[in-house]
Amino acid sequence: MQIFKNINIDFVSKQSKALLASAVFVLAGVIMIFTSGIKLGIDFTGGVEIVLKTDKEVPVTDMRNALQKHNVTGAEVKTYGAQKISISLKAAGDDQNQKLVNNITTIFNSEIKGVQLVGEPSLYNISGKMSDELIDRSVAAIIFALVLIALYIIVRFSTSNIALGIAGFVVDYIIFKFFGEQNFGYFIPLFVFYPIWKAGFAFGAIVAVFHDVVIALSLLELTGVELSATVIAALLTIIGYSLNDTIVVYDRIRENLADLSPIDYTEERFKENINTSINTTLNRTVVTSLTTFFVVLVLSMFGGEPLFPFAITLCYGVVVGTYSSIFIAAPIMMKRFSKEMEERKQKLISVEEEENPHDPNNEGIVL
Amino acid sequence: MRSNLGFKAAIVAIVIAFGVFKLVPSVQFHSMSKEERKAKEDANDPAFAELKSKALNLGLDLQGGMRVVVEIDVKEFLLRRANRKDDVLREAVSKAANDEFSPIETLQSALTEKGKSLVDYYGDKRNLKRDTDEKILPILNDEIVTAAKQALEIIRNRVDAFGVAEPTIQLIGTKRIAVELAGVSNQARVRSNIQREAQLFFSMVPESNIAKRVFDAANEFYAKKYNVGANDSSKTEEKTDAEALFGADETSDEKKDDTSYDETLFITANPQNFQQMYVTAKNHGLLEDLLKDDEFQKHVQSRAGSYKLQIMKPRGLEPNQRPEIYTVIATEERVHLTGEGIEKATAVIDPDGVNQYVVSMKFDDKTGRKFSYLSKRYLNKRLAISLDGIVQSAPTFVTEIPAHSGAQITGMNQQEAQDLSIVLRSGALPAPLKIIEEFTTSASLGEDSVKAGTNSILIGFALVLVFMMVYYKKSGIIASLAVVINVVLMFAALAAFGGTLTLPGIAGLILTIGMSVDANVLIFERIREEVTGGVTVFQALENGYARAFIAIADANITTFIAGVVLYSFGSGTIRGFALILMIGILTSMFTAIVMTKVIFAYTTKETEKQLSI
Repeated sequence: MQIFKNINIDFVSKQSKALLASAVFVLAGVIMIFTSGIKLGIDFTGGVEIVLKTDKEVPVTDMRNALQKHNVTGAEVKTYGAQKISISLKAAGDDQNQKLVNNITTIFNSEIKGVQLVGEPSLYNISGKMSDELIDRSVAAIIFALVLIALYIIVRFSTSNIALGIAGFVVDYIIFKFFGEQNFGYFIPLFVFYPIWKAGFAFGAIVAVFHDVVIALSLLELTGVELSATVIAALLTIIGYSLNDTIVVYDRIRENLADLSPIDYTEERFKENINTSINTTLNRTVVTSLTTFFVVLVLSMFGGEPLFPFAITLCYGVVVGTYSSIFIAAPIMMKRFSKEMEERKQKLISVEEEENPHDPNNEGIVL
Repeated sequence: MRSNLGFKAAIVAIVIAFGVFKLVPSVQFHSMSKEERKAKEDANDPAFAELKSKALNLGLDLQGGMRVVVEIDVKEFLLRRANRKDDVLREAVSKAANDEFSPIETLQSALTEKGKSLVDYYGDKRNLKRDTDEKILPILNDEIVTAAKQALEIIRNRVDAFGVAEPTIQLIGTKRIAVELAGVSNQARVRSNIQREAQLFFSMVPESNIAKRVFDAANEFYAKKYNVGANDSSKTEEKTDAEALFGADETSDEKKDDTSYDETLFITANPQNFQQMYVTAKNHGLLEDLLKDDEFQKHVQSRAGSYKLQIMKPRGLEPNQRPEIYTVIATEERVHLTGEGIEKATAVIDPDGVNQYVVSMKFDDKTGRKFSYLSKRYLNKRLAISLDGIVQSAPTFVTEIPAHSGAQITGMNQQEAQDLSIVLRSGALPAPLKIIEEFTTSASLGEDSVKAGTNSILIGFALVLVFMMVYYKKSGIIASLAVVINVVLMFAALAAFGGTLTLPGIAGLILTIGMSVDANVLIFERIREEVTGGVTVFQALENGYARAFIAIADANITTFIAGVVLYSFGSGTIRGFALILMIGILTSMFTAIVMTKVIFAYTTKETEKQLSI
């Protein structure tokens, strides 16, 4: 069985529309993130989350009222499934864990009648200091991953730019070690940007990744999911995974391009090439994405509340990542790479001109 | 393809056998019931211990337990270490405590700004004229590091006594300690035992007439501070959320916005004896505030001399009963003995009391002699024994006590007495420890997570298998087999690495199941292409595997890179996920490339023209 047999969709012609649509979404996403801000979980704001397990279901409003009655404000109360209540306090102050557990237990026992607590409460606490460190580490991790991946793609696909890429990476790494995580996180790795820009393949991949992250974050915000350390882990996994597809397509493109020597390069043949590559890998792309999507969907439905933000991020990421491999990575790479190919062609032509100068007296057959 | 087939098949067989072998301990360990495990644990069965070390560990989020990260309170440490305290020092110390990397340097510059130096506060008292900042700076830095190491040992002793199997206690950086206790219940006890400072002080109680002066000064200060008599509503403080929560700690009668203050805080208990006075439960909060207030201490000392007030431990209470009055006792500032001199501390049942326990402390030689001397010198006077600022008891030296004796702290239940003796044995913490991070899960929530995780694995697995078989037919069965072996190998590798299985780890497992399909798909798609190209089946297989290999490697490397980054930057549970991700990529490449090829080779005839794919 095969989903797509002998398929030949002209992807390339749809590119401009797709890119435009994506650009609009990304812009909307960025604006949304900067204006309303992403909801940050306790991991990044500091605070305490206490989870109570009860033997009977307790309506959320009951717990909320109970807390308010005892002058506890600013607590976020949620239910997890049928018999768990989660109470989050973002400004709980440091080193108050025992007091908080005692007080919440007391309030629960005095206000919620007829329901018993099962086992001891669970508690998750991060102090303000630690959460600041976590923010720095997360941003550093993402940037580091992007830089490493860009370097890898340059090495694999844009051999002419390897030296530049490695140089840029080394400089970035030195800066990272020197300034430490705290400052690197917000330091834009300019030194790798130029090599990435020059290397068409890498540029396409990085733009695709950027697109994926922004769209995923926007989706998370739209669905009210809080940003936590595991969500960041999911984002990094998506970055790695989305590039899987991209690289498979790139691989095919490169394979087919091997038949096309620089001097024979024309934009037409290049476009044809890209189309064929995407079409032939379409089967594989869709099937893998589908199986991965099934699996993370199962995870988000059955994996329990602690895993849900992680799983749902992966769900969004798999879908967006697949889309971006075809409609963003390839076209952008095409645009950058075609320039590279043009330059090479021109260079070859001028080299030829030097070696075999055009002799007006020897043009064609004289009849 | 036939050429080195035997060799390849052998490798596959060895790897799988090895994987299964590595997993046997885990299966054995986890299929034992909880009771069985506990029994063997208590019996100190060595074979069992070995089995346990080889089995796969379950993370805290799956088995329940506590992980607490504490940090040395540098501010308190510096304040206590100082020869004297004043506001300049306090401000400077606050600044220093905020500096993560070079607190002492910051302290020095903050002091210099105000025209003081380190020598002023931390100079060697015996050699003050010769001491310099340059000498003191590294000493203080060292002391902070040493304090952390000391605290580590102390915590280790205290936690070991809990009897939790294999607690993990590590130093992180220079001043943080991480404590992980799997399967522990009773969080309150754990937190208390870790953070308890266990500062034991022995000081004398002054005569009644002197004590009266102390209390009078205290009442005077109280009256002035709270403008007793006038209804000053501006004294009410705004409640922040956290404060409100802590306010719930007090009885519901106590309202902070009740602006009517009692005329005196300290009420006479016994007009013959002013060593002790009472404070009503209502004023407990005020009392604590006062005792922490430096102005209060200054005032008392200027009026009455080197004395202070301490709260006495309430006695004779039911488990959840709150005291109605608090007893406050006056003591000298001077401390004659500390907990350092205690050689042994044991919890013993009280022969006199009903279901009461005492902690019996034995002094070392030097302290024993000093104690004996105290009893002689202060015959008929009272000795206050205070633990972390609360006076446990204040007995009178009725007779001279011989040198090789000790002291007792009475009035506790069994658990309190045991915990206290453990804590005294381990020694006082060099500085207070603040909890900066905590992850506590109850066993039942852990079980829920295990259930959820297992369900997800089974359902996800089933979906993938079904899909593979429908889409790739007979070849799909081979691919499914590869996925199954993949999971076995992943678990085995995790066990071999000594890694811990956490909930994100299970998620990683499931994710890898989905992604491992990828490698198979790449190969099969290539094979399909080859088959339509018209070569023999064998040739198609050969070409398919060869061509796909590069693509598989390329594709998986980026996810692998993401795994490496996650492993280096991530903490705890995320590391587990990253590890599984990386292991999964490697094993799935192995099963997809080597294993399935072997199976194909064995199940396909050389001359076959059709391939079920």
